[in-house]
Amino acid sequence: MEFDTSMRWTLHPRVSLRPEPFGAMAYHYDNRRLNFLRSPDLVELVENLGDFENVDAGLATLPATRRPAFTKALAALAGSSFLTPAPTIRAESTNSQNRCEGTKQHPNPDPHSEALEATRGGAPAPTMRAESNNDNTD
Amino acid sequence: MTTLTEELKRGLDAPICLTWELTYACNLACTHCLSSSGRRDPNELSTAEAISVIDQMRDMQVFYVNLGGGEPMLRPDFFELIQYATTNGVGVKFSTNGSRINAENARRLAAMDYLDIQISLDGTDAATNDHVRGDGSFDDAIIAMQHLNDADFGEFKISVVLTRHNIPQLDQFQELADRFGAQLRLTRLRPSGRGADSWHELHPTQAQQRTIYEWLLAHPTTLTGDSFFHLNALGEENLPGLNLCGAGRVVCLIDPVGDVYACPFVLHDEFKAGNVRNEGGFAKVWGDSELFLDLREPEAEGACTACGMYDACQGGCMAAKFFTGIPLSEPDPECVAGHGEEWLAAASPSSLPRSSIDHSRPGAVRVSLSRK
Repeated sequence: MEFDTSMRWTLHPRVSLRPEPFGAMAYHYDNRRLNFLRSPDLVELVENLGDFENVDAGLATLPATRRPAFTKALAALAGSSFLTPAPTIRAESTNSQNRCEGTKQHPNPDPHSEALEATRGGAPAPTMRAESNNDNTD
Repeated sequence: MTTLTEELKRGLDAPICLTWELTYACNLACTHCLSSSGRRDPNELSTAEAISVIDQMRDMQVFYVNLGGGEPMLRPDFFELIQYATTNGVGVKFSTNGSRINAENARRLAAMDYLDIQISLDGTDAATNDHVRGDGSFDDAIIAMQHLNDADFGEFKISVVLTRHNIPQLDQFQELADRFGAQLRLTRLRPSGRGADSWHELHPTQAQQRTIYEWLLAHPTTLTGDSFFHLNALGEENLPGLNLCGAGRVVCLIDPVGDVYACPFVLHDEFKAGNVRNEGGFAKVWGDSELFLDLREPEAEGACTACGMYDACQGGCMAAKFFTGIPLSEPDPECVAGHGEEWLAAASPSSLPRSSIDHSRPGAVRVSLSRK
């Protein structure tokens, strides 16, 4: 789904955030991807995103100069399903929120969103496969 | 803004994931076994102790653990432990040779969530595979995959340690994975454990290293455990994944007796950080051990940090250097620029560090085999 900042989005219920010195590490239990939230302010915004009427309202709490980078970071999070569309506040619920998540949660990373761009492009919220460094157990 | 790589080098509050070898017991005797497994150690963690380790991981928000061994399914409490972990927010991926995945076990595994399985396979035919993993191991692995398919497990992983003999089979590995609806995982051979003896015969040639690099670029969804970052110096383009050594920074290893090492490839006293049985448990080892704090400091100056390719290859693998007798600030033995070769030649075979941790069964191969 396209990331529309005029809509309300929230942290996916299957995502856990772990505090780290640079911000937080986020893990998605359904798609088993990792994201690095590389700013404490971004962590705070992501945690509270669902409390805002829409994403723009959340971004408005930040200085204007920081909004483009945060918008990009949130879009990346939405692109890897770490953020999920939420029902409009005060409106009746819509069918579009009832996404089929499947019953079995085998990791099934989307090959097209595969990237750890951090080491190359310095994207604010890189995502990577939760198959981490040097984990060979053979 | 510092790069993520720089931040990760300074270490995380908890590992991204960790490897936990559940037992040294194994029914196979692979010639490249990182942990020189075979016989169970009488001092292995009890079920209660293992449960406590899982509790610690949950509390530290270690999101998933890679279980291995030895053959982890040989532990009588194997299912109890993975059930406990996966229902406590600690996802499990386990490595197995497949010999204990019968129809019934495949159904039990398929019924669980947050569980990943990787079946080790080092050749697309019995001759190539069994040369390294032992007679009958190819057939056992294929039967296990069939059971997982029959039980509708879904996507599992086929995990391959790349060797001189199986690199020509890269495309066949992909075909095999596709046939089982599996995901292919390729990792780097290390001269660790019994691999110290077989490495010289099995490690890729320089030409094969380029083959690996190009194949991985052409197949970017292949899993690698980010183990081939030393190949990034071969071209402009980096392989997908983290480009750094994660030892003691973002990963570590817990062995079957609870000793904590910097990574799965350095089961040696020099890289032992502590034991989960000691006061403070795993969290204290991760957070406070002198070894890990040291590994999170900037790398020592040496030929690698002075080399123009350092940003690409990060100096390669600490374990590969250590067990081939190369100082850690000097080139990886498989440095793609060839800088490791003179160091390899200079290392005296009698002075190579050997791990004191060896659970090989009597008669298990500790000599280099010639190829059939």
